[in-house]
Amino acid sequence: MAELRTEEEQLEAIKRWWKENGMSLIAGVVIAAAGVLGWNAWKDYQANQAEAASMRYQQLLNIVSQNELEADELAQAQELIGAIIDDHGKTLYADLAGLVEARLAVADNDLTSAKTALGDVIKSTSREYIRSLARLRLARLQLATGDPEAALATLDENIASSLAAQRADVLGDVYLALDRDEDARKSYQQAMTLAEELGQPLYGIQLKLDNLGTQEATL
Amino acid sequence: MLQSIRDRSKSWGAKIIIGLMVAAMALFGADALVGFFTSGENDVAKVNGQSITRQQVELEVQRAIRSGQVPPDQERALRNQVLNELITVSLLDQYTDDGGLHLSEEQLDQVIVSLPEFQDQNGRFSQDLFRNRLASAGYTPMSFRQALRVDMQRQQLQQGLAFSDFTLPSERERLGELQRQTRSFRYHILSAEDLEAPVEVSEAELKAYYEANAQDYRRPEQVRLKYVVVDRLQMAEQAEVDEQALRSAYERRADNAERRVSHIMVTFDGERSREEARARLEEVQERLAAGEDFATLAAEYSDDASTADEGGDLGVISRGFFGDAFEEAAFSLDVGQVSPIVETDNGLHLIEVTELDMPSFEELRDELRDEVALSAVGDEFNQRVQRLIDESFAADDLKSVAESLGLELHESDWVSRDGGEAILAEPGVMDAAFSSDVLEDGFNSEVIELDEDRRMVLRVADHREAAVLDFAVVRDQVMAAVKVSKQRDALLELARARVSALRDGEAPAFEWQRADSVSRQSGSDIPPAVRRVAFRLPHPQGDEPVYGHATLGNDVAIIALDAVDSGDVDEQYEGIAVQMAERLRAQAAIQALLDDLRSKAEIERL
Repeated sequence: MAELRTEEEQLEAIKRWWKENGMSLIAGVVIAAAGVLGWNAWKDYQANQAEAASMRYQQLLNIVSQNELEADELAQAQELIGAIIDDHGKTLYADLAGLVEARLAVADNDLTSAKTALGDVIKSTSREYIRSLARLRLARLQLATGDPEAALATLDENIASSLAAQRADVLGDVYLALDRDEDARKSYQQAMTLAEELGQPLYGIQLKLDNLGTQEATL
Repeated sequence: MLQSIRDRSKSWGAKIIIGLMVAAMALFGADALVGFFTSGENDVAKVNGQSITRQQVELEVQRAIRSGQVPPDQERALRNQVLNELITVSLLDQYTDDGGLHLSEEQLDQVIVSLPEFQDQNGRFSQDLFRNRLASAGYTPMSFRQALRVDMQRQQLQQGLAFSDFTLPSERERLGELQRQTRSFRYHILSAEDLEAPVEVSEAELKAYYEANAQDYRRPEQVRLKYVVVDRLQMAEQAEVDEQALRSAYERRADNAERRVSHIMVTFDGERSREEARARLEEVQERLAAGEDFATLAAEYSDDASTADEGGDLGVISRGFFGDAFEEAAFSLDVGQVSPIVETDNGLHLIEVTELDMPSFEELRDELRDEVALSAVGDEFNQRVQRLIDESFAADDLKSVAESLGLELHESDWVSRDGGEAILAEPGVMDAAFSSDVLEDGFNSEVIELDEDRRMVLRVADHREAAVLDFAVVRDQVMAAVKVSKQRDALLELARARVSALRDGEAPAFEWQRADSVSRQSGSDIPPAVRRVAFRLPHPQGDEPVYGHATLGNDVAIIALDAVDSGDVDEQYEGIAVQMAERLRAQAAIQALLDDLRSKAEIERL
């Protein structure tokens, strides 16, 4: 800058530079600022939504983590579930709330509502794994309400392979209810193998298998 | 680069880009841009495109080591485990983020305030405790909040999966029924004496068995190793340590040993001037010199009300509590000596050491020797390790390296990949021996860090492939196996004959052992294998029992199952069983989600 001799000349140079470049520089800053502000506003809105869902969900967890629920707690939990599903429909919160709804219905001895809740999760969720889990639980409910055929159909739908051990276990129960002992045995055996492979132990599977009796040990 | 930016900055486009960068720096800070341009170099893995950096892994490894849960020599295994965990965590975080899980600052505050780790004795949140605990765990408040946030998000997911599970009344009923079922049966054990003639084994049968079960008589791939070890402890043992060094080590330790002290304190503000206080203590010094007792004088002169009546006793002290002047005096005294007058913030003191917690020199001799020797060989150890690294890399053999470094050249017997003993069984050794550089190319191994104090280099002296052992070598083993198997077959045959006779209505030619209404759990002297089979036989129909057999070592048991009954209800036991079943299902629901995410994810290890 030594070649710029006087202060006036320097000032003049700066003014000239600003005249040539100022507008575009300002434009750049304004565009960026507008973009960032807009983005932040959108993020804020989303964060607010998410926070509301999170608070409700956390409250719900606090309630259902207790062993026994009073009537008013049950009502409060159901209200929270309704709010989460209605206001935050596409989120994982909504899916999980739907699963919890089924469990509350079971605790209330209302298996029909439990089936409806799981059916809704299966319909509405975009997450394959959650759908698989809901199907597995739905099949158990169908079996318990005297409809093994429906349970069989549910288990025939797509269920994540990481849940295969549990699926085979429930399938064995379904076959047993249909008096298909040989299929039940095969299913239980498969469940045991899968449980070992997947590292997901199943409680009581050996009992079920033993009770079917094995011909190998007979004389 | 700057010049080219200046040249191009004449265009509109470039000006807008510069404007954007200016704005970005103003709004997000320079970090954002720096981070943007430097990412990617330090990644150890990518999970669906999201990086896991070396620093992340290191940080967790250091945390685990500092927490004392992991010995440093397992660092490599730990690093792998940490990386796996980080991948898992990253998958879950992506899942929860995509699912819109989120925790607000207020929710985090609530959690932080409620954590017992950050609460004082009164159960109140303490800011100081919070900062100290975080600092010692290597967190800043910001990074801790972030870690807590993702952790809570994962918890929300996991709890949702777990708490939403249920056990249906019918399932509970069925599980209970099976669990409390009882069975009544009889059994009889047949052994070798029940056979008419002992089993005979022909040479042809042995050969046939040997050939059919060749896999059981394999010898794995094996190597013979030569190796050298540089061992700091061994070097220390051989090092010469002179008496003078031991003495000074002892003194250093004695200087810092805990000691019990008494003091006489005279304060000097307000009523008494400093000179008066000093005069008062000089009086005490005179009376001490005249042979009077320190404790008695403490009672008479000391202004420290809490100790004056205890003979001035302050108890056992270690460094770091009483201020420099006091400690300098106290830690330079021997037992029974009294210090000159010492000044502290509290006033003037005379200090006496009454007990010293220091074993004698002879008692400590061995310990001191190790300590001195270890620190003396430190440099030499490092130099030798460096020479070992250089020379073993350059040399075509290990003998010259051993001679040059003055190390013993060890030779091993044949060892297989999983079969080393003693030092050869330590982690990393057989991996090195069977690495392609060492096994196939015949090089010296890299220097193996067994632990802080030992380094090893090995090479393969001899190698043999896996092979089936010759029949002659294993004939005895084969014989034993064939005998057992034939005896079992013969006993089983006998069992069939006996059962068939029973079915024909003949009286049993043997005595039954009875087991009435036995449950799965109830303790009794029934052999476990018999009970297991009794519970696996089909339910008897009508009066006819169901016959079965169980193998007990070399013997065979005949079992007659008479009845299957539903046992007594045990509410408590069944409640526990249901809980177990639920917990396992909940764990499986979480585990299966992880497996599902892993199977669908793109995981790149770099």
